Amino acid sequence: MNFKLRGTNVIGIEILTDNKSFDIDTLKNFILEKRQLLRGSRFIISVEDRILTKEEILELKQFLENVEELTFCGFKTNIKENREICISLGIPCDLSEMELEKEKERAETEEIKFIKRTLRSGDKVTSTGDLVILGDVNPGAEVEAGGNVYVMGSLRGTVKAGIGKSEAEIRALYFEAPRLEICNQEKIFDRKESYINFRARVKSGNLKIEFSKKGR
Amino acid sequence: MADKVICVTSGKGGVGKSTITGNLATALAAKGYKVVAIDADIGLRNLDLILGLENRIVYDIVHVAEGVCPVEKALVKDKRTKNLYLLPAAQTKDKSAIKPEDLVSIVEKLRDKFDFIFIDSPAGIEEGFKTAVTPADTILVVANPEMASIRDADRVTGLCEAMGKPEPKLIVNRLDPRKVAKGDMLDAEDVVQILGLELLGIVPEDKNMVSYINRGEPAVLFEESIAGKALRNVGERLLGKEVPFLNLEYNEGFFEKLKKLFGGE
Ligand SMILES: Nc1ncnc2c1ncn2[C@@H]1O[C@H](COP(=O)(O)OP(=O)(O)OP(=O)(O)O)[C@@H](O)[C@H]1O
Ligand SMILES: [Mg+2]
Repeated sequence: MNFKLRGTNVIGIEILTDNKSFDIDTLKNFILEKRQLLRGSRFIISVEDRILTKEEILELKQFLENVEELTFCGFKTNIKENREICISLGIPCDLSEMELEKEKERAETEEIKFIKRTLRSGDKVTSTGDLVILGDVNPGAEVEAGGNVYVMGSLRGTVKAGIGKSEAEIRALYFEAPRLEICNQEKIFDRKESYINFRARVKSGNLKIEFSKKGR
Repeated sequence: MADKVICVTSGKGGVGKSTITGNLATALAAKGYKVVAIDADIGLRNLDLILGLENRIVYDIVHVAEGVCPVEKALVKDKRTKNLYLLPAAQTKDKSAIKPEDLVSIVEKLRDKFDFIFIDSPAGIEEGFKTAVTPADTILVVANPEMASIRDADRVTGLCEAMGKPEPKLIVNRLDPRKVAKGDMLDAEDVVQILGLELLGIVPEDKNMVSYINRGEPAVLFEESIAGKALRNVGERLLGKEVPFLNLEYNEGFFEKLKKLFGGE
C-alpha cells in the first residue's frame, strides 16, 4: 500500500491512497507516525479507484476523530459508491474532478440554454450544456459552453465550446472571429477571414472547419 | 416632437462626442429650437471651447449641484446662435462631483424651458458615464470606423440596455471615404453590421474640424464644411425628418442594405 501526503491550499492536508493492498491498519499507523508533523492541520482522506465498505469508512472516521492533532474534514474520492455511503453517514465527501467531469459530460446532453438577444462587448454567457444564441456575438463578448454553441447570427466574439468534453461543435450563420476553442483545441483566424454557414467541430481528436462560402 | 433629452456617449475617448454635441445643439438652435447643451464631462471641460464660450463661464454644473446657485444662473447664453445655452462642466472637480440624481434633478428643472437638452458624456463606462446617461430618453452612440471604438460603443450599448434605456442610435464619425476605398478603413456598413443599431448619421473626416474648434465656431454654421453638412442632417433626423445620407462615394448596395436592415424607405 502506498501513501502520498499533499498540502492543498484551501483545505489542509490530503492523504492520497492507492488501491493496491489497501489496508486500514497500515493507514492508521502511517497517520499516527506522522501526527506530530500534521499537527493543527485540517485533514482529508482521498481514496481513488477503490470502493470502501461502510464499516471501513466508519472505522476511519472514528479513528481520525480521536487523533487530537488533526481536524478531520472528510473524504475525497472518484468513486460514486464511496460518496453515497459517506453522505448516508453524514460525512462530508467531495467527488474528485475526474468524476465530476464524467458527470458533466452526461448532464451536458440535457441542458440547452437559449439566449434571445445579441451579446455585446463585455457580455459573458456560460452553459454547462449547449448554447443557442438567437442574435449576434459581437467582438469583445464571450461565450463558454460545456456542449455545442449555435449562433443564429454573426459570430465575431470569443467562443469556447466542448469544455471538458472530447466532441463538440460551433456553428454560426456568419463567422468573423479571431479565434475559437473547441474541446481545448484552439484555432486562430486571420484578420479578414470570414465564412458563411460556418461549422467547426472536434471529432476523434481532430478540429475540422466547414463552410458554404468564404467572405460575405 | 422627437425625444427631448439626448445623451451623446461612446465608451472610447476622443471619438468626437463633444464636437457632435456642440454641433447638434447649434444646428437645432439655428433652426429656432430652444436648446441647452450640458457638459457632463466634469474635470475635462470641452464643450465651452467648441462653442467658443470659455471666457463667459462664471458658475458651473457642480455649483448648481451643490446649491451655490440656481441652474438658470449657471447657463451661458451663446453669443452667436440665438436660443442656445451651455451648462458648463467644472474644471477643478472630478467626475464623482455629480451623481446621477443630481443630473436628473437639474434636467427636470430645465425640461419645461427647452425644446432639446443635450448631454455630453465623459468617456469610459464608470460613474460619470452612468450619470450622463441616466436622465436621457435618447442616447446617441458615437463610433469611429475602427475596431477599438466599435467594441467600446458596443459595450456602452449593452450597458444602456441593462439600465433599461431605449436602444441607442448610431453616429459614425470621422469616416474617410478614400481610406475606405483603399481598404484601409472599415466602412460605415461594417460598423452598422456589427453594432446592429439604427444609423442616424455618417460624419466624414474633415480636416478643417480642428480650426473650427480653435475658433470656437461649430462646423454646422458653415455651408462649405462637409462634416457640418452631415451634422446638420443628423439634426434633421433627430427632428424625425427623413434625409438621405450624403453620398460619400459608397457603392449603391450599402443604402439598399441599410433600408432592408431597418425596414425603412
Ligand atoms: N469629423 C471629424 N473630422 C475631423 N476631426 C474630428 C471630427 N470629429 C472630431 N474630430 C476631432 O477629434 C478630436 C476629439 O474630438 P472630441 O473632443 O469631440 O472627442 P470626445 O469624444 O468628446 O473626446 P473625450 O472622450 O476626450 O471627451 C478633436 O480634435 C476633434 O477636432
Ligand atoms: Mg468630450
